Amino acid sequence: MLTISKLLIITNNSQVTPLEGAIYFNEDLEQILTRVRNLVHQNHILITHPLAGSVKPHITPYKSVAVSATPGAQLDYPSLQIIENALQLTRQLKGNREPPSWSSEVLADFATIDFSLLQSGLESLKYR
Amino acid sequence: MQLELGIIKIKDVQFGSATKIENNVLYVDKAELIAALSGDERIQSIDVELAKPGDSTRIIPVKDVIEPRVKVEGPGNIFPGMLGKVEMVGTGRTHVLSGCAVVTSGNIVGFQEGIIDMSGPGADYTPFSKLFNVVIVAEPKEGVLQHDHEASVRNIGFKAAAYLAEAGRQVTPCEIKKYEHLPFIEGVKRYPNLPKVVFVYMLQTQGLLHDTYVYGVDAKRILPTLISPTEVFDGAIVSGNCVSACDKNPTIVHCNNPIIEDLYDRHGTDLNFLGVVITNENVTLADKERSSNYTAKLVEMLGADAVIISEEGFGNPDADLMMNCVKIENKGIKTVLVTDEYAGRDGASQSLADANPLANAVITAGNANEVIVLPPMAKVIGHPRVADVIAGGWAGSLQPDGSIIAEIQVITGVNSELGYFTLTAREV
Repeated sequence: MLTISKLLIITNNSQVTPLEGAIYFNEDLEQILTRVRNLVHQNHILITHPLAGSVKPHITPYKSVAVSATPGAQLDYPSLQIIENALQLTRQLKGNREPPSWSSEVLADFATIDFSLLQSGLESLKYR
Repeated sequence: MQLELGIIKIKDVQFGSATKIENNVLYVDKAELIAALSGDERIQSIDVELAKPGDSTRIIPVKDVIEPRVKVEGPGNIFPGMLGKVEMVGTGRTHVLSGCAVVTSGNIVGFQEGIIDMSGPGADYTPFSKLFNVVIVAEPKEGVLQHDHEASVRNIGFKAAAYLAEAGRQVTPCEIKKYEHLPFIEGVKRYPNLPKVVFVYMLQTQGLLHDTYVYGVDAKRILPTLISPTEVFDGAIVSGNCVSACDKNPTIVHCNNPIIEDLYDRHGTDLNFLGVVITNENVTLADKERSSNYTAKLVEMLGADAVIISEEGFGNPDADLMMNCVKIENKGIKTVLVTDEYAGRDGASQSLADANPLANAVITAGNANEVIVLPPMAKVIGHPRVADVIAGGWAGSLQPDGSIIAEIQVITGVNSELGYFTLTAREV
């Protein structure tokens, strides 16, 4: 079983930024997933599912994904499969239509949900 | 465990001076109902409206749909752990107000989904347009956070259903359905020559607006476990899941779980319905691994020959679904999966976020990306201003005449992954 001493959290959600290990990027959701994919190619292991939650990736602008802070000895193939599938689905759902232009209140709600989903994952890791 | 469900058909709902059932009509004392729901300090106001089949009415945003049920014999109460004590339910007799429901609406987050149209083309895409709905609109006090608002709306819905169900306590049901769940050893002996089937019941459990509760326990904190199907009929599993309207399981769907009902229908005929394993859909991959490992182990310990696995929600639960499938199949136990699809607006794209060759028997509840036009309704219950911020719509999806062009995923219950609705797709 993997021992996780520290996490790396790739996020574009400023609510998540104060968390230990969080690295903020002012980028869209697909770019965040691409960064995670690149880390997986560098042998980091996915800790949270990149499609956590049922808010569709072409609807919410925010995404936070936790990976292992240190890379493993080799590529984690299940992680790669999951992140590639998530990227493919994101592009597929987006299609050629833009989401509505959300108000600042709605954006804050999306950010809160993304933060809550991540927290739910982190909570389950705290005894490890 | 033996449970009788006494079905009381409700053919109309009206406001009246007293809450009662007469000649299959549910009369609701609105003031008394509101008084029964009051007392939550987080809530500013509560209003109650009625929505009937055929009305030019849209309910948006829908949080939960709850069928009124009351225990008239046997221990415990409906929705144990959420209301009342935590007695084990699933035995005795329960009265069901069939044909009506409590629908909760609340502006918990600013982006909205969950539409029930009571007439027009949208009504054809939801099972809940056929019900006489008592809609509860609960407004929070200023500054109440989303978690608290969700908890309030959820509990108010259960209280409303319990209040209305009391009217059915003394009513003679028009039909009695009897269900029995034997101890496992006896269950196996009862039909020794029939294949033993277990139902693996996946529950959405990921965080704010994504939770399910079992006897009042947040199911993300459980290990997969056994539950009697009769407990499910008594409301031991309730929904706090407000996202992905099309394929979440509202509380009414848990209480009427069609997979459990169908397994009972065929129990003793061509299969032996052994029992139900509940499991969760969590955020971390370690949790997904643990829960699917544990589920496969439980199924093996029960000696199942075949398993039906149902999913709840979108995207990442596809990983749980496949993990459950593969691990159970690898034990030599056949699986059938029930899911829905996000196959793009043309239906031609990859449907799930995960797949495996062992998932070779899959039932689909249809493509959530199909596009529908919902014409304007004369009346909107809930929060009409949200029509332009529908999750599942897109820029320009609100038309000048008030109609909405959106994917069917905005409609409550349309892609029910427990098969509570009729939508599916078949290979041709």
